[in-house]
Amino acid sequence: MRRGHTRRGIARLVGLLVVSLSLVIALALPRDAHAASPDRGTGMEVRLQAAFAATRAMPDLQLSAPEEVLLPSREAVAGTLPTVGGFRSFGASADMNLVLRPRFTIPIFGLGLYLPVGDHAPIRSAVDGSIATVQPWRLIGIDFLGPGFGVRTVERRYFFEASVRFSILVLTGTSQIAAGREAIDVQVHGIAPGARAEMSACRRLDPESRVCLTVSPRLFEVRPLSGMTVGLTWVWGN
Amino acid sequence: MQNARTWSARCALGAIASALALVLVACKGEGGEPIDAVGLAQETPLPKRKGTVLVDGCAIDPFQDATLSAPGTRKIVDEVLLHCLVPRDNGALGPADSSARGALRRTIEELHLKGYKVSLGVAFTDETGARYDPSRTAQLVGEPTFRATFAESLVAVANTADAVDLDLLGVPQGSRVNVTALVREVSPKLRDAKKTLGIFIPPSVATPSDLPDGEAFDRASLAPLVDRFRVMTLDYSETPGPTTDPGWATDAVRLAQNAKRETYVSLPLYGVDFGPRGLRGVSVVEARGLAATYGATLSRGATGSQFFSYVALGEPHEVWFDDTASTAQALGAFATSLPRDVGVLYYGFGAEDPSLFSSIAERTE
Repeated sequence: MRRGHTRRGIARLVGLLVVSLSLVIALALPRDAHAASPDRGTGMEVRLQAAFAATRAMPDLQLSAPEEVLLPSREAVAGTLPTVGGFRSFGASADMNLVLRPRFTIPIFGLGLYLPVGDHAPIRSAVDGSIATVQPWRLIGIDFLGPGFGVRTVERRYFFEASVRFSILVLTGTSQIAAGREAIDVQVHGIAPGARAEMSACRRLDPESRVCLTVSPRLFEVRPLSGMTVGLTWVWGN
Repeated sequence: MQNARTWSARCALGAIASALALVLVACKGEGGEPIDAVGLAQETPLPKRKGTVLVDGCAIDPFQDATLSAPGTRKIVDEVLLHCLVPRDNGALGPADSSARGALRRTIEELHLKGYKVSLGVAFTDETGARYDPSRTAQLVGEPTFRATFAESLVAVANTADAVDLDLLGVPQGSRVNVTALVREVSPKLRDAKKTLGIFIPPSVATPSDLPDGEAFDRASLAPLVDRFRVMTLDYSETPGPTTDPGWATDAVRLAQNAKRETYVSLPLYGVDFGPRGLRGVSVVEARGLAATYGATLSRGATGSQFFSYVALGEPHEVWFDDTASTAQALGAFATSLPRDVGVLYYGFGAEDPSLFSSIAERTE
């Protein structure tokens, strides 16, 4: 029960962080930074995205608190749970970019929270000799979007952008370890550093904002070309 | 006016996105057949280990013979343990009659021709095959004349075999010194005869042992006298449940390895029918037959073992058994938890899932 609360707490905290980050960034942006035309210069922009993500690989998972794992079959267990297969999720992210002149963008930092969608097959795994079951539908994904570099072009009311950036995916949630005929819930997490491309086609709504269709192939995350994110992005700023 | 329209559009888009998100996130759950990250998964080859199959008896039946002749079995198994020698009251080992000894010798020769090593297992059972009462075993191993005759007889009967494995499980804790004394009597004679000596040890996971009679086996004293420990990581459940738990087996093997001897982990090839009148061993084929006969639905437990319930003659039964998938999953779990020099003793040869060895061989490095 306590672990369930912990997981919900993490999800709420990350969700709160995403919303807070976007609000803080939006409020902190000076109005004169809204240089939303090719004529304007360097400035910041905020991006809020709702997206569907699908991957064909997940990172191996670690026991988050091995000292708290109490199994009737053994005293201590620690180690890694190998995984196989992908993870489909839907979520939101907030992101901040620096725009250099009209043509270049430097993604700075972003944070996203993704929840599983659709059916996932259980994964038969093992940890430290014990049989384990990874249950992807009980995991959440937290995206830490790092720095990168991008280019863009503007055609009247339309923007086309492409960038490449570093990322870190953290999967966290609950899996199960077998102890005889019982299956015991345990907290797990997995971390996958990676690199992503982001390609957006945008339409300006007004001088300060535009809406974009964004496709983000995961160039590397656990394995090459491991998945893709497709989302609708709202951009304020340049 | 323009701003109002823009904000209306934003609100509408936001509402649609939120509704879509709620619908998508609500539609999640378990679906599809489990996929393997260990075991028979194509991307996770099983490490090659020494393999021994235990035959409960002195003879190989046609099904066992066919399995031993298959290429897959040859890849996984390098030794056959014939669990067939039984000590009599004076310490001499049976089977004693010449025809039985002759048949055993021929069986050993045939196994050698197939490329297998042969070990002879000594079980403390009576002539009906029932294991001796612990107090009876304690009495026997406590007699110096019994131990001396036992050692002499063992060397004679094992002359064509490659190894001997002693099965003293069930001996009471008070016989700790005498168990070591028996092995000390046997060890030099077998080593002079160039035979490998192994001993079955209970699956203790702590020192002192967590098992009722686990302290009957002084692993530190036994280690220099034997060449290998066969850890009996079997019969985990006393009430309906899996026959083994790979995590528990890992701990038992790790403890045995402290004695710095070659170690084997045991995997059950048989199943157990838990009924109100006690436990009964069943083969995988029989278990599946029971399930089909009584229209029971097979399920998988947490360790991957299969189980089902049925009612026969008004009595409820629950059957647990390991098939190819669950055995491979246990081997997959051991791939990272146990060193490659830990061998596997497949206990109950002939009761296994018919596809077991060929399937495991396909995934073994």
